[in-house]
Amino acid sequence: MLDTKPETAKPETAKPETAQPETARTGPATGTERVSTRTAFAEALPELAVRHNVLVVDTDTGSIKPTPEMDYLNVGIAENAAVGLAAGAEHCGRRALVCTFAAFSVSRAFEFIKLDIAYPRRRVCIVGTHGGASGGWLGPTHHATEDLALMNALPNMRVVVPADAVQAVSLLEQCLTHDGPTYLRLGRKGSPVFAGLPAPRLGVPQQVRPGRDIALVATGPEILATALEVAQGLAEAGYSAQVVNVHTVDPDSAGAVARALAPECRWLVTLEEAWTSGGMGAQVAAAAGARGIPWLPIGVTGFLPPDSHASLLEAGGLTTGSVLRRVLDFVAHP
Amino acid sequence: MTEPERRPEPTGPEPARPELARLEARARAVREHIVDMCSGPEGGHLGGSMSAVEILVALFFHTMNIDAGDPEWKQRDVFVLSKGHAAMALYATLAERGFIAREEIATFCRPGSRLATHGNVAVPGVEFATGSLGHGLALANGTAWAQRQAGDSPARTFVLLGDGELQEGTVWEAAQVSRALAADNLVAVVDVNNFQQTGAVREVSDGAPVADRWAGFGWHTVEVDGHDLAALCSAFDEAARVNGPTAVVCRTVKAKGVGALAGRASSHFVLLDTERKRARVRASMAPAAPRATAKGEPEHA
Repeated sequence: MLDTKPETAKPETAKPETAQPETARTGPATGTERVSTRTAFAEALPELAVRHNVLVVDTDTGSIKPTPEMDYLNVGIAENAAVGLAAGAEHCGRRALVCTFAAFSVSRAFEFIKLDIAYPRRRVCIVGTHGGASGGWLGPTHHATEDLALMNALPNMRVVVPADAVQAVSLLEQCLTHDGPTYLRLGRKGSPVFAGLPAPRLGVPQQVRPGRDIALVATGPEILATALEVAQGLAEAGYSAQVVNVHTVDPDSAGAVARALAPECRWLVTLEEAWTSGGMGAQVAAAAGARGIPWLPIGVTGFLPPDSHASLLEAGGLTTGSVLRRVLDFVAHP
Repeated sequence: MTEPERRPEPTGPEPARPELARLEARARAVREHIVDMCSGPEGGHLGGSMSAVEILVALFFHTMNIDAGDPEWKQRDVFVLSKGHAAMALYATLAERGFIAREEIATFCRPGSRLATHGNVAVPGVEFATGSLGHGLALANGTAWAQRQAGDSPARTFVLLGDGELQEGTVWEAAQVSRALAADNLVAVVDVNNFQQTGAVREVSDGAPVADRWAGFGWHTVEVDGHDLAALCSAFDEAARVNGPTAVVCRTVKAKGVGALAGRASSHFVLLDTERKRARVRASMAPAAPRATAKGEPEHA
């Protein structure tokens, strides 16, 4: 199952081979506008929380501007208590969302998320802002490069990384109406917005550029932008590269990604702003393992120093030049 | 909102003498069930189950507004067993209260049974999967909040913690939140049996007096003999009348009621795997529950 068509939801039976819109020949354009997925979330949340009767539990993040209509509790700097409270409220029939910094919910409150959210399949959305390296100069205490692996380790948990601010709003609403636990990873500052990106459906990967030889499977705004530019570079080098946006990165979605890989695919490259062990790429590679396609995982290596987000991506080899060189080397010497 | 239907009809703050006798009989029955479970293939957390018997009996047979025929009744009072290793005491109480059949007690930790060492949510009346200490109060904050959304006379949440469990920092994170939320309908019951797995709580980690800690966190705090059913019922009733969350600090005896083991750290987990052990334990069980001393010292040390 794969989404390829911009702006319109397709039936569950849709096949990836359906006709590509013109914009999809080279992928969606990366506009000059940059909008934070966190900002988009914060602006959309008050209305969506009221519409879907969701209790919003905040951990003093400063991200949310509550309205009088919302059920909003800022429990303070207390991630374990926040997750536990959300679980208790959900037990009594109330959906809940917990807003946190990713660095402080996923690892600190992991056991609460495991036992009190994932195990009983509660309808609770854990929102982690400052995902990946987007914490930038806030430093390694505020970077969250472990979150995808940790959340992917939990049965029942949908792990969601919107590709841009537009997808963030749609996926937020889908998390708030999902019949089970979700983790929504958001960035901090402005990130690329893609023109012509298909409307996302939870769990359904999106082919955003067709191609044959090489599959570039990407997660997150900056990384998807890199993947699209790398695909163009590969085209100029004579390789046809497919780009797949994976906004739901958990094991339950990986099979759909594997099935979306072009039949001619000879090289699989996964790109994510996270530690690769247990991350999105690991799920996709495991799901595609039977095809025996050589796999190049690209992600964050080691702990990152304090620096700007852009510099961290550059130094970490997650920008177009570095990735293109690594992919060309990979296809030459797989 | 209209006042939720009360079922069963509450019997008042202080149980009358005939009711006290009935509660004491329930407590004896619960203790018998616990010994039976420790005689199963796995053994069980005898000490911390026995110390909580009167607390559970007072809650399930006197204080809480619950319906054994409809365990998920929306207006029920909620009980959270934060010290999840005392699951035997909860299962036994649920069996006596009619949530499960008494015959099911014999299946404890046997193949196919839902009665597991720690609280299993497959059992009617077990609200949360507890056993990892330090979760219950955070969960109780959520249930109590949701109950308050229902109207002016909300149902209540009771959460049972152990004194060893208070070493978990998440207890105090949640305790701060309870006060901040002005959780009038929340009662934390602390089973201060003075022991944890490897020894006396004060020897493992000598914290400040338990009641002082709760009072310091701004909770209305009551201290009672945790084996005095009338005092427990009275404390739970008092909690309903005060503003903010209430901590009922219960002085108890680990393995209360089992003379051979009472007040000993070794009673934490007991496997009665021989007839001789079972006979010794049963012979040492008091016919009626004696009271703990004021200092919570074991009566059979």
